[in-house]
Amino acid sequence: MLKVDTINTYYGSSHILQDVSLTVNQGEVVALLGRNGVGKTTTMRSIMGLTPPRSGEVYYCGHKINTLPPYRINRLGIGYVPEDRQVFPDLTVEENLLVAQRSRNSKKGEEWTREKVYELFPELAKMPNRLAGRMSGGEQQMLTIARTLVGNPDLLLLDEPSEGLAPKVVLNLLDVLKVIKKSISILLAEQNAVFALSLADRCYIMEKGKTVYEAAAEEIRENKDIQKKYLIF
Amino acid sequence: MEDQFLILLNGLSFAMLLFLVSVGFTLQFSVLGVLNLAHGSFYMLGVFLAITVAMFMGNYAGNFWIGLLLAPLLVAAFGAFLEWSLLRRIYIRDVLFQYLFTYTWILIIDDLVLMIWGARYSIISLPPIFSAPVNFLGVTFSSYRLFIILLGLLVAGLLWFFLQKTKAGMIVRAASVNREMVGALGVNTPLLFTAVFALGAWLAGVGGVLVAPLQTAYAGMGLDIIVDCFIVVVIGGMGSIKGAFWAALTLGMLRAFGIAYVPQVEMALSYLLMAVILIIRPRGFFGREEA
Repeated sequence: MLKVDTINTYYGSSHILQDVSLTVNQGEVVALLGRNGVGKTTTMRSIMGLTPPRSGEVYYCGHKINTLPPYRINRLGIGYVPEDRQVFPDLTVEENLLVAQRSRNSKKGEEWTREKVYELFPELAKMPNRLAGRMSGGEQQMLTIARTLVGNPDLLLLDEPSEGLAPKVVLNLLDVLKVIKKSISILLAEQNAVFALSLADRCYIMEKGKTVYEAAAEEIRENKDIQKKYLIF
Repeated sequence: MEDQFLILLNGLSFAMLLFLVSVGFTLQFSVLGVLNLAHGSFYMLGVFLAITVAMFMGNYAGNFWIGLLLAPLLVAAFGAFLEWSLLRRIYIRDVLFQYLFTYTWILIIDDLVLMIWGARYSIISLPPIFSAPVNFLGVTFSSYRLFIILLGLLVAGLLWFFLQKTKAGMIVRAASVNREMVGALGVNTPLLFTAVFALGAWLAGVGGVLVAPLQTAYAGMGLDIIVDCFIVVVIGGMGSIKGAFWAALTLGMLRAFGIAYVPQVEMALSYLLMAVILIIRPRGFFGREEA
């Protein structure tokens, strides 16, 4: 479904991603693990076209997407949930959803409408007219995910969704993502490995701008050496 | 009392002109992040295009209206073309390049105006329907200025409706806080930018046409209005539509009453107001806190 092929991404003159390759198959949840600053967010932004890679290629469902602008990448079916939420603070919950709402032909009949999204996030349904900037961090995180869902993606890029959330909210988030993963493939960047591993089928571990290890989630859950070497548990 | 009311009306009509032009300026800034220094030159193009339309139409009584319809559309088309062909290439550049680029267009448009319309001063006559003043709430007032006030309020109302109630308006508001995210959510941002830039240019054009019967036109008049736009935007808050409205009103009143009561220092009043606002509330009436 998604194939990232030896991409190199720079911020100005600093070389952030070095020959990063990864794949996400249809129906899979793939976790991108690693400490803060190893390039997880940059990988997400490279796929989404927000900081396009300087070399290498990204393919999505047969389309070469690494030269496309973000809105075209989105319209091909990739939804992006950024780190630090980025809700539109001056817009209400309902307006945040309206801006992102987009129907796609491939999804006829099983579309994420606003009604369906409100069912998945009952907290949001209670406050459609609340300004997004006036909501709690957890609520904003739910809204960002809801906002991306109504764009009806086939692949979801989730960047650090658990960051800064209270443990109870993280559990709530986990439940929601378990529902979402039934119909949408997910690439999940996380520092919280326990959280990521409880969702993922497969994992990549990143270090210093490189993917250094790839394994089934199960294997990483059990291999204490790998856990110690790369991850913060 | 009647005198004050008349001054108030005069101030209102000036404020509405100022609002029309500066709201386009602030709208472009809020969405594109570019301060279009040539915005005043788009306004000037509106003035001269209105004059041309009037000349083509000769004595036809409807020429002002055709100008009001056509000239802003032409200005908008020119703006859209400029954004699409050149401006979009410099969004990623340093702000300094953006200033240089838009400043360059002040010079280019001034010279274009000199080439096409020449260095003479022109003014068009008031549309016949406005030839007589009206009696408005007990005072005799220019019917044309009254028309400007009403049109300004109408445009303000339509803009408010567009931004608050339509999906396109929500997208504009969302883009004004986070352009990148709007693009990642599937909004065709290049098209959005062109459209917003064209809308801003259209508003400048409308302001220009409205001013054509009131003021002689000259190359360089764009620079005068852009200074006022700056004051409005600084007082109202960068990128704030609501701010542009209230700041334009404040400035209009200040100017009208200043001319009436303290004509010696009237010119300095708006700068003084701006200085005071910058000291006590640097983000303006409705500016964002972090900006």
